Amino acid sequence: MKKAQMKIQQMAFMLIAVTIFFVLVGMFFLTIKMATLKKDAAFLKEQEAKLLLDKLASSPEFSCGTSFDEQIPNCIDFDKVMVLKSKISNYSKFWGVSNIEIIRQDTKSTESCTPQNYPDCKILSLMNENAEGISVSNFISLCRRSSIMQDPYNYCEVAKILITYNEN
Amino acid sequence: MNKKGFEMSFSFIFAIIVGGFILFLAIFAISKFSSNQIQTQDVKTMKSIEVLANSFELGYENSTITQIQLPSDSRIYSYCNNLGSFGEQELILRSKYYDKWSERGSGIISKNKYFFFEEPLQSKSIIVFSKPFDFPFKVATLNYFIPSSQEYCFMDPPTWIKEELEKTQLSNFVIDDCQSNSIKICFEEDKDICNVIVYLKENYVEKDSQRYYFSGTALMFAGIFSEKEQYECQVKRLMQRTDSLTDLYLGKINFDLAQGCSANQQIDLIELKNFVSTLEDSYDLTKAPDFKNMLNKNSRSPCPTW
Repeated sequence: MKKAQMKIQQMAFMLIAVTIFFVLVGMFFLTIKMATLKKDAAFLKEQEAKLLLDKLASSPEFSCGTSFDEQIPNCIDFDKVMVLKSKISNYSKFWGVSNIEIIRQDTKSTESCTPQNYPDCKILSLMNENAEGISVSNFISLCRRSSIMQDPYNYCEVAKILITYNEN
Repeated sequence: MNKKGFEMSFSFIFAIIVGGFILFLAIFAISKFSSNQIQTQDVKTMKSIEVLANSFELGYENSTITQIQLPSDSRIYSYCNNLGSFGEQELILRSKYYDKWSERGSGIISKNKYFFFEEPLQSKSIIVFSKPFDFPFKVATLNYFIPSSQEYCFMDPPTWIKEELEKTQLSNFVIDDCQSNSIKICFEEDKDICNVIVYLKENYVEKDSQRYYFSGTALMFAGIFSEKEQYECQVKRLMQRTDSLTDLYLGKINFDLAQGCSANQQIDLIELKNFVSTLEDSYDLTKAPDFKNMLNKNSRSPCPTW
Protein backbone atom coordinates (compact mmCIF):
# COMPACT_ATOMS: atom_id res chain seq x y z
CA MET A 1 0.00 0.00 0.00
CA LYS A 2 1.23 3.45 -0.92
CA LYS A 3 1.79 6.13 1.73
CA ALA A 4 -1.04 8.31 0.31
CA GLN A 5 -3.51 5.42 0.34
CA MET A 6 -2.56 4.72 3.91
CA LYS A 7 -3.23 8.35 4.83
CA ILE A 8 -6.69 8.30 3.19
CA GLN A 9 -7.57 5.13 5.03
CA GLN A 10 -6.43 6.67 8.30
CA MET A 11 -8.55 9.72 7.66
CA ALA A 12 -11.61 7.63 6.77
CA PHE A 13 -11.30 5.70 10.00
CA MET A 14 -10.88 8.92 11.93
CA LEU A 15 -14.02 10.43 10.34
CA ILE A 16 -16.04 7.29 11.09
CA ALA A 17 -14.81 7.37 14.69
CA VAL A 18 -15.76 11.05 15.04
CA THR A 19 -19.24 10.36 13.56
CA ILE A 20 -19.80 7.41 15.89
CA PHE A 21 -18.68 9.53 18.84
CA PHE A 22 -21.19 12.28 18.05
CA VAL A 23 -23.97 9.76 17.41
CA LEU A 24 -23.27 8.19 20.81
CA VAL A 25 -23.30 11.59 22.52
CA GLY A 26 -26.60 12.37 20.76
CA MET A 27 -28.11 9.05 21.80
CA PHE A 28 -27.02 9.60 25.41
CA PHE A 29 -28.65 13.04 25.37
CA LEU A 30 -31.83 11.61 23.80
CA THR A 31 -32.05 8.85 26.41
CA ILE A 32 -31.86 11.42 29.21
CA LYS A 33 -34.51 13.56 27.46
CA MET A 34 -36.81 10.56 26.93
CA ALA A 35 -36.45 9.53 30.58
CA THR A 36 -37.43 13.07 31.69
CA LEU A 37 -40.37 13.03 29.28
CA LYS A 38 -41.54 9.65 30.63
CA LYS A 39 -41.25 10.98 34.17
CA ASP A 40 -43.27 14.08 33.23
CA ALA A 41 -45.94 11.95 31.53
CA ALA A 42 -46.18 9.67 34.61
CA PHE A 43 -46.43 12.72 36.88
CA LEU A 44 -49.23 14.23 34.74
CA LYS A 45 -51.07 10.90 34.69
CA GLU A 46 -50.84 10.68 38.47
CA GLN A 47 -52.05 14.26 38.86
CA GLU A 48 -54.94 13.56 36.49
CA ALA A 49 -56.00 10.48 38.49
CA LYS A 50 -55.80 12.36 41.81
CA LEU A 51 -57.80 15.32 40.51
CA LEU A 52 -60.33 12.98 38.90
CA LEU A 53 -60.65 11.15 42.21
CA ASP A 54 -61.41 14.43 43.99
CA LYS A 55 -63.98 15.50 41.44
CA LEU A 56 -65.56 12.22 40.30
CA ALA A 57 -68.22 12.46 43.00
CA SER A 58 -69.27 15.78 41.42
CA SER A 59 -69.72 14.37 37.93
CA PRO A 60 -73.39 13.79 37.05
CA GLU A 61 -72.89 10.05 36.40
CA PHE A 62 -71.94 9.55 40.07
CA SER A 63 -73.20 12.47 42.14
CA CYS A 64 -76.14 12.30 44.53
CA GLY A 65 -77.32 15.77 43.54
CA THR A 66 -80.40 16.54 45.62
CA SER A 67 -81.72 13.00 45.31
CA PHE A 68 -81.19 12.32 49.01
CA ASP A 69 -82.97 15.40 50.38
CA GLU A 70 -79.96 17.52 51.26
CA GLN A 71 -76.85 18.24 49.24
CA ILE A 72 -74.23 15.90 50.66
CA PRO A 73 -70.66 16.82 49.68
CA ASN A 74 -68.55 14.11 48.05
CA CYS A 75 -71.58 11.86 47.74
CA ILE A 76 -72.06 9.02 45.23
CA ASP A 77 -75.47 7.65 44.30
CA PHE A 78 -75.11 3.85 44.62
CA ASP A 79 -78.31 3.10 42.64
CA LYS A 80 -77.19 5.33 39.77
CA VAL A 81 -73.73 3.76 39.68
CA MET A 82 -75.31 0.29 39.51
CA VAL A 83 -77.21 1.43 36.41
CA LEU A 84 -73.98 2.95 35.08
CA LYS A 85 -72.27 -0.45 35.47
CA SER A 86 -74.86 -2.01 33.12
CA LYS A 87 -74.10 0.66 30.50
CA ILE A 88 -70.36 0.88 31.03
CA SER A 89 -69.47 -0.19 27.49
CA ASN A 90 -70.46 3.32 26.36
CA TYR A 91 -68.14 4.86 28.96
CA SER A 92 -65.05 2.67 28.38
CA LYS A 93 -62.63 5.51 27.54
CA PHE A 94 -64.68 8.36 28.97
CA TRP A 95 -62.61 8.99 32.10
CA GLY A 96 -59.32 7.69 30.70
CA VAL A 97 -58.72 5.25 33.56
CA SER A 98 -58.52 1.43 33.67
CA ASN A 99 -61.02 0.89 36.46
CA ILE A 100 -63.19 2.66 39.02
CA GLU A 101 -64.14 0.72 42.13
CA ILE A 102 -66.43 1.54 45.02
CA ILE A 103 -65.70 -0.46 48.16
CA ARG A 104 -68.26 -0.50 50.97
CA GLN A 105 -66.71 -0.39 54.42
CA ASP A 106 -69.65 -1.32 56.61
CA THR A 107 -70.52 -4.79 55.30
CA LYS A 108 -69.68 -8.42 56.06
CA SER A 109 -70.09 -9.39 52.44
CA THR A 110 -66.98 -9.96 50.35
CA GLU A 111 -68.78 -10.36 47.03
CA SER A 112 -68.61 -8.17 43.95
CA CYS A 113 -71.83 -6.30 43.23
CA THR A 114 -74.13 -7.77 40.58
CA PRO A 115 -77.80 -6.95 39.85
CA GLN A 116 -78.64 -10.21 41.67
CA ASN A 117 -76.91 -9.49 45.01
CA TYR A 118 -77.20 -5.67 45.07
CA PRO A 119 -77.01 -3.99 47.63
CA ASP A 120 -75.67 -6.89 49.77
CA CYS A 121 -72.21 -6.79 48.28
CA LYS A 122 -68.79 -5.33 49.00
CA ILE A 123 -67.15 -4.14 45.77
CA LEU A 124 -68.68 -2.44 42.78
CA SER A 125 -66.18 -2.65 39.97
CA LEU A 126 -67.17 -0.49 37.03
CA MET A 127 -64.76 -1.40 34.26
CA ASN A 128 -62.21 -4.16 34.48
CA GLU A 129 -62.04 -6.01 37.80
CA ASN A 130 -58.56 -7.32 37.02
CA ALA A 131 -57.15 -4.01 35.81
CA GLU A 132 -53.50 -3.62 36.67
CA GLY A 133 -51.79 -0.33 37.29
CA ILE A 134 -51.42 2.35 39.91
CA SER A 135 -54.34 3.06 42.21
CA VAL A 136 -55.42 6.12 44.14
CA SER A 137 -58.26 6.12 46.64
CA ASN A 138 -60.45 8.42 48.70
CA PHE A 139 -63.37 8.16 51.11
CA ILE A 140 -66.86 9.17 50.00
CA SER A 141 -70.47 9.04 51.18
CA LEU A 142 -72.38 6.29 49.40
CA CYS A 143 -76.16 6.76 49.39
CA ARG A 144 -79.03 4.65 48.11
CA ARG A 145 -82.78 4.35 48.51
CA SER A 146 -83.92 1.62 50.88
CA SER A 147 -87.25 0.71 52.48
CA ILE A 148 -88.90 -1.12 55.34
CA MET A 149 -92.23 -2.66 54.33
CA GLN A 150 -92.29 -0.49 51.18
CA ASP A 151 -91.77 2.63 53.30
CA PRO A 152 -88.80 4.28 51.57
CA TYR A 153 -85.90 6.01 53.33
CA ASN A 154 -82.43 7.20 52.34
CA TYR A 155 -79.46 5.16 53.51
CA CYS A 156 -75.94 6.63 53.45
CA GLU A 157 -72.69 4.99 54.52
CA VAL A 158 -68.94 5.54 54.26
CA ALA A 159 -67.24 3.90 51.30
CA LYS A 160 -63.97 4.07 49.47
CA ILE A 161 -63.54 5.00 45.82
CA LEU A 162 -60.52 3.59 44.07
CA ILE A 163 -59.27 4.65 40.65
CA THR A 164 -56.78 2.44 38.80
CA TYR A 165 -54.82 3.92 35.94
CA ASN A 166 -52.16 2.67 33.62
CA GLU A 167 -48.88 4.59 33.51
CA ASN A 168 -48.48 4.06 29.75
CA MET B 1 2.29 22.20 -5.03
CA ASN B 2 2.73 23.28 -8.60
CA LYS B 3 4.13 26.75 -9.14
CA LYS B 4 1.64 27.46 -11.99
CA GLY B 5 -1.61 26.69 -10.15
CA PHE B 6 -3.37 25.61 -7.01
CA GLU B 7 -3.40 21.88 -6.52
CA MET B 8 -5.47 20.09 -3.91
CA SER B 9 -4.55 16.65 -2.75
CA PHE B 10 -7.21 13.90 -2.84
CA SER B 11 -7.17 13.55 0.95
CA PHE B 12 -8.00 17.26 1.30
CA ILE B 13 -11.02 17.01 -1.06
CA PHE B 14 -12.14 13.81 0.64
CA ALA B 15 -11.99 15.45 4.09
CA ILE B 16 -14.00 18.48 2.89
CA ILE B 17 -16.75 16.31 1.30
CA VAL B 18 -17.11 13.91 4.23
CA GLY B 19 -16.76 16.72 6.80
CA GLY B 20 -19.44 18.73 4.99
CA PHE B 21 -21.72 15.70 4.93
CA ILE B 22 -21.26 15.12 8.68
CA LEU B 23 -21.88 18.81 9.37
CA PHE B 24 -25.05 18.75 7.23
CA LEU B 25 -26.31 15.66 9.08
CA ALA B 26 -25.60 17.28 12.47
CA ILE B 27 -27.43 20.52 11.56
CA PHE B 28 -30.37 18.56 10.11
CA ALA B 29 -30.61 16.37 13.24
CA ILE B 30 -30.42 19.37 15.59
CA SER B 31 -33.12 21.32 13.72
CA LYS B 32 -35.39 18.23 13.64
CA PHE B 33 -34.72 17.57 17.29
CA SER B 34 -35.42 21.15 18.41
CA SER B 35 -38.63 21.24 16.36
CA ASN B 36 -39.72 17.96 18.03
CA GLN B 37 -38.76 19.39 21.42
CA ILE B 38 -41.02 22.42 20.87
CA GLN B 39 -43.90 20.18 19.77
CA THR B 40 -43.36 17.93 22.80
CA GLN B 41 -43.41 20.99 25.05
CA ASP B 42 -46.65 22.14 23.38
CA VAL B 43 -48.31 18.76 24.00
CA LYS B 44 -47.04 18.78 27.60
CA THR B 45 -48.46 22.27 28.22
CA MET B 46 -51.81 21.32 26.68
CA LYS B 47 -51.93 18.12 28.74
CA SER B 48 -51.21 20.14 31.90
CA ILE B 49 -54.19 22.38 31.08
CA GLU B 50 -56.37 19.34 30.44
CA VAL B 51 -55.27 17.74 33.73
CA LEU B 52 -55.92 21.00 35.55
CA ALA B 53 -59.38 21.09 33.97
CA ASN B 54 -60.35 18.15 36.20
CA SER B 55 -60.28 20.57 39.10
CA PHE B 56 -62.77 22.83 37.30
CA GLU B 57 -65.51 20.17 37.63
CA LEU B 58 -68.21 21.89 39.63
CA GLY B 59 -69.99 20.28 42.53
CA TYR B 60 -72.35 22.58 44.36
CA GLU B 61 -70.34 25.67 43.43
CA ASN B 62 -71.80 28.01 40.83
CA SER B 63 -68.59 28.84 39.01
CA THR B 64 -64.80 28.68 39.29
CA ILE B 65 -62.03 30.85 37.88
CA THR B 66 -58.41 29.96 37.22
CA GLN B 67 -55.61 31.86 35.53
CA ILE B 68 -53.10 29.83 33.52
CA GLN B 69 -49.68 31.20 32.59
CA LEU B 70 -48.24 29.61 29.45
CA PRO B 71 -44.47 29.25 28.92
CA SER B 72 -44.57 31.50 25.85
CA ASP B 73 -47.06 33.31 23.65
CA SER B 74 -49.37 30.51 22.46
CA ARG B 75 -52.26 29.74 20.18
CA ILE B 76 -54.86 27.14 21.09
CA TYR B 77 -56.96 25.39 18.45
CA SER B 78 -59.95 23.12 18.95
CA TYR B 79 -61.15 20.21 16.82
CA CYS B 80 -64.46 18.71 17.86
CA ASN B 81 -66.34 15.67 16.59
CA ASN B 82 -69.43 13.70 17.59
CA LEU B 83 -68.07 10.21 17.04
CA GLY B 84 -68.89 7.47 19.53
CA SER B 85 -71.21 7.85 22.49
CA PHE B 86 -69.94 11.23 23.67
CA GLY B 87 -67.89 12.75 20.86
CA GLU B 88 -64.52 14.29 21.66
CA GLN B 89 -62.61 17.55 21.58
CA GLU B 90 -58.97 17.77 20.58
CA LEU B 91 -57.00 20.77 21.84
CA ILE B 92 -53.81 21.71 20.02
CA LEU B 93 -51.31 24.25 21.27
CA ARG B 94 -48.79 26.06 19.06
CA SER B 95 -46.22 28.22 20.77
CA LYS B 96 -44.13 31.10 19.54
CA TYR B 97 -40.33 30.76 19.65
CA TYR B 98 -38.03 33.36 18.14
CA ASP B 99 -40.96 35.02 16.32
CA LYS B 100 -41.96 31.75 14.67
CA TRP B 101 -45.01 29.62 15.44
CA SER B 102 -44.30 25.97 16.15
CA GLU B 103 -45.65 23.37 13.73
CA ARG B 104 -49.00 21.74 14.39
CA GLY B 105 -48.22 18.74 16.57
CA SER B 106 -50.56 16.19 18.04
CA GLY B 107 -53.15 17.42 20.49
CA ILE B 108 -54.81 16.29 23.67
CA ILE B 109 -58.12 14.50 23.19
CA SER B 110 -60.79 14.89 25.82
CA LYS B 111 -64.06 12.96 25.94
CA ASN B 112 -65.50 14.23 29.21
CA LYS B 113 -64.66 17.94 29.06
CA TYR B 114 -66.12 20.85 27.13
CA PHE B 115 -63.94 23.85 26.29
CA PHE B 116 -65.27 26.97 24.56
CA PHE B 117 -63.11 29.77 23.14
CA GLU B 118 -62.63 32.05 20.14
CA GLU B 119 -60.27 30.36 17.69
CA PRO B 120 -57.36 30.63 17.64
CA LEU B 121 -57.07 31.77 21.21
CA GLN B 122 -53.79 33.68 21.30
CA SER B 123 -52.27 34.78 24.59
CA LYS B 124 -49.48 34.15 27.06
CA SER B 125 -51.93 34.00 29.88
CA ILE B 126 -55.47 32.65 29.78
CA ILE B 127 -58.38 32.79 32.17
CA VAL B 128 -60.55 29.72 32.52
CA PHE B 129 -63.92 30.09 34.10
CA SER B 130 -66.47 27.35 34.43
CA LYS B 131 -70.22 27.03 34.78
CA PRO B 132 -72.48 24.01 35.17
CA PHE B 133 -74.80 23.13 32.28
CA ASP B 134 -78.20 21.82 33.43
CA PHE B 135 -80.73 20.25 31.03
CA PRO B 136 -82.71 20.12 33.40
CA PHE B 137 -80.38 17.98 35.56
CA LYS B 138 -76.65 18.68 35.66
CA VAL B 139 -75.08 17.42 32.44
CA ALA B 140 -71.54 18.79 32.49
CA THR B 141 -69.24 21.61 33.54
CA LEU B 142 -68.50 23.99 30.68
CA ASN B 143 -65.07 25.65 30.61
CA TYR B 144 -64.53 28.97 28.86
CA PHE B 145 -61.05 30.18 27.87
CA ILE B 146 -60.50 33.92 27.46
CA PRO B 147 -57.22 35.80 26.94
CA SER B 148 -56.16 37.63 30.11
CA SER B 149 -55.65 40.84 28.18
CA GLN B 150 -59.09 40.88 26.52
CA GLU B 151 -61.84 42.98 28.04
CA TYR B 152 -65.50 42.02 27.58
CA CYS B 153 -67.89 44.89 28.07
CA PHE B 154 -71.50 43.97 28.89
CA MET B 155 -73.74 46.88 27.94
CA ASP B 156 -76.87 47.39 29.98
CA PRO B 157 -77.29 43.75 31.03
CA PRO B 158 -80.36 42.57 32.96
CA THR B 159 -79.93 42.42 36.75
CA TRP B 160 -79.50 38.64 36.95
CA ILE B 161 -76.67 38.69 34.38
CA LYS B 162 -75.09 41.63 36.22
CA GLU B 163 -75.15 39.52 39.38
CA GLU B 164 -73.67 36.52 37.54
CA LEU B 165 -70.83 38.69 36.21
CA GLU B 166 -70.16 40.32 39.56
CA LYS B 167 -69.96 36.89 41.21
CA THR B 168 -67.07 35.95 38.92
CA GLN B 169 -65.06 38.99 40.17
CA LEU B 170 -63.19 38.96 36.87
CA SER B 171 -61.64 42.29 35.93
CA ASN B 172 -62.01 41.25 32.26
CA PHE B 173 -65.77 41.60 32.58
CA VAL B 174 -66.81 45.24 32.63
CA ILE B 175 -70.37 46.50 32.91
CA ASP B 176 -71.33 49.56 30.80
CA ASP B 177 -67.96 51.35 31.20
CA CYS B 178 -66.53 50.18 27.86
CA GLN B 179 -63.06 50.88 26.49
CA SER B 180 -62.64 51.28 22.75
CA ASN B 181 -60.79 47.96 22.25
CA SER B 182 -63.14 45.87 24.36
CA ILE B 183 -65.57 43.31 22.92
CA LYS B 184 -68.99 44.83 23.42
CA ILE B 185 -71.89 42.58 24.34
CA CYS B 186 -75.35 44.12 24.06
CA PHE B 187 -78.69 42.78 25.23
CA GLU B 188 -81.87 42.80 23.15
CA GLU B 189 -80.79 45.75 21.01
CA ASP B 190 -78.70 46.01 17.88
CA LYS B 191 -76.38 49.02 18.09
CA ASP B 192 -73.51 49.76 15.70
CA ILE B 193 -70.88 49.31 18.37
CA CYS B 194 -72.09 45.86 19.47
CA ASN B 195 -69.84 42.90 18.62
CA VAL B 196 -72.21 40.41 20.19
CA ILE B 197 -75.95 40.75 20.79
CA VAL B 198 -77.76 38.51 23.25
CA TYR B 199 -81.48 38.01 22.70
CA LEU B 200 -82.72 36.60 25.99
CA LYS B 201 -86.39 36.29 25.01
CA GLU B 202 -85.60 34.32 21.84
CA ASN B 203 -82.66 32.53 23.50
CA TYR B 204 -79.93 33.22 20.98
CA VAL B 205 -76.63 35.04 20.70
CA GLU B 206 -75.88 36.87 17.45
CA LYS B 207 -72.26 37.26 16.42
CA ASP B 208 -70.77 37.88 12.97
CA SER B 209 -74.32 37.53 11.54
CA GLN B 210 -74.58 34.01 12.95
CA ARG B 211 -77.00 32.79 15.56
CA TYR B 212 -76.02 30.63 18.52
CA TYR B 213 -79.20 29.28 20.12
CA PHE B 214 -78.87 28.44 23.79
CA SER B 215 -80.68 26.99 26.76
CA GLY B 216 -79.54 28.32 30.12
CA THR B 217 -76.81 30.71 31.23
CA ALA B 218 -73.94 28.26 30.70
CA LEU B 219 -74.70 27.89 26.98
CA MET B 220 -75.33 31.63 26.66
CA PHE B 221 -71.73 32.26 27.80
CA ALA B 222 -70.58 29.45 25.49
CA GLY B 223 -72.20 31.28 22.58
CA ILE B 224 -70.51 34.56 23.53
CA PHE B 225 -67.04 33.02 23.88
CA SER B 226 -66.87 30.47 21.05
CA GLU B 227 -66.88 29.91 17.31
CA LYS B 228 -70.02 28.73 15.50
CA GLU B 229 -68.63 25.37 14.31
CA GLN B 230 -67.14 24.57 17.72
CA TYR B 231 -70.35 25.64 19.48
CA GLU B 232 -72.66 23.47 17.35
CA CYS B 233 -70.43 20.43 17.77
CA GLN B 234 -70.20 20.94 21.54
CA VAL B 235 -73.99 21.35 21.84
CA LYS B 236 -74.37 17.99 20.09
CA ARG B 237 -71.80 16.43 22.45
CA LEU B 238 -73.72 17.81 25.43
CA MET B 239 -76.92 16.30 24.05
CA GLN B 240 -75.13 12.95 23.60
CA ARG B 241 -74.23 13.07 27.29
CA THR B 242 -77.77 14.13 28.24
CA ASP B 243 -79.03 11.10 26.31
CA SER B 244 -76.81 8.75 28.33
CA LEU B 245 -77.70 10.45 31.62
CA THR B 246 -81.40 10.08 30.80
CA ASP B 247 -80.82 6.32 30.53
CA LEU B 248 -79.13 6.34 33.95
CA TYR B 249 -82.05 8.21 35.52
CA LEU B 250 -84.60 5.89 33.87
CA GLY B 251 -82.69 2.97 35.41
CA LYS B 252 -82.54 4.73 38.80
CA ILE B 253 -86.33 5.20 38.74
CA ASN B 254 -86.66 1.39 38.56
CA PHE B 255 -84.56 1.11 41.74
CA ASP B 256 -86.78 3.72 43.42
CA LEU B 257 -89.94 1.92 42.29
CA ALA B 258 -88.64 -1.32 43.82
CA GLN B 259 -88.44 0.55 47.14
CA GLY B 260 -92.00 1.83 46.70
CA CYS B 261 -91.15 5.36 45.64
CA SER B 262 -90.94 7.36 42.44
CA ALA B 263 -90.88 10.97 41.31
CA ASN B 264 -93.07 9.94 38.37
CA GLN B 265 -90.60 11.25 35.79
CA GLN B 266 -90.51 8.36 33.30
CA ILE B 267 -92.70 9.94 30.62
CA ASP B 268 -90.86 13.27 30.86
CA LEU B 269 -87.48 11.56 30.67
CA ILE B 270 -88.52 9.49 27.66
CA GLU B 271 -89.73 12.71 25.98
CA LEU B 272 -86.39 14.34 26.78
CA LYS B 273 -84.51 11.32 25.42
CA ASN B 274 -86.48 11.45 22.17
CA PHE B 275 -85.79 15.17 21.92
CA VAL B 276 -82.00 14.99 22.47
CA SER B 277 -81.54 12.03 20.15
CA THR B 278 -83.16 13.91 17.26
CA LEU B 279 -81.47 17.29 17.85
CA GLU B 280 -79.70 18.44 14.69
CA ASP B 281 -78.35 21.84 15.64
CA SER B 282 -78.60 24.47 18.36
CA TYR B 283 -81.79 25.90 16.79
CA ASP B 284 -83.62 22.77 17.98
CA LEU B 285 -82.92 23.86 21.59
CA THR B 286 -85.78 26.34 21.14
CA LYS B 287 -88.12 23.31 20.83
CA ALA B 288 -86.88 21.69 24.07
CA PRO B 289 -89.54 20.28 26.42
CA ASP B 290 -90.71 22.47 29.26
CA PHE B 291 -88.36 21.82 32.15
CA LYS B 292 -90.39 23.74 34.77
CA ASN B 293 -92.76 20.81 35.18
CA MET B 294 -89.90 18.30 35.47
CA LEU B 295 -88.03 20.43 38.00
CA ASN B 296 -91.18 20.94 40.08
CA LYS B 297 -91.94 17.22 40.10
CA ASN B 298 -88.38 16.47 41.11
CA SER B 299 -88.18 19.00 43.94
CA ARG B 300 -91.59 18.12 45.37
CA SER B 301 -91.17 14.35 45.22
CA PRO B 302 -90.20 12.41 48.37
CA CYS B 303 -87.78 10.54 46.09
CA PRO B 304 -86.12 13.08 43.77
CA THR B 305 -84.52 11.46 40.73
CA TRP B 306 -81.56 13.86 40.54
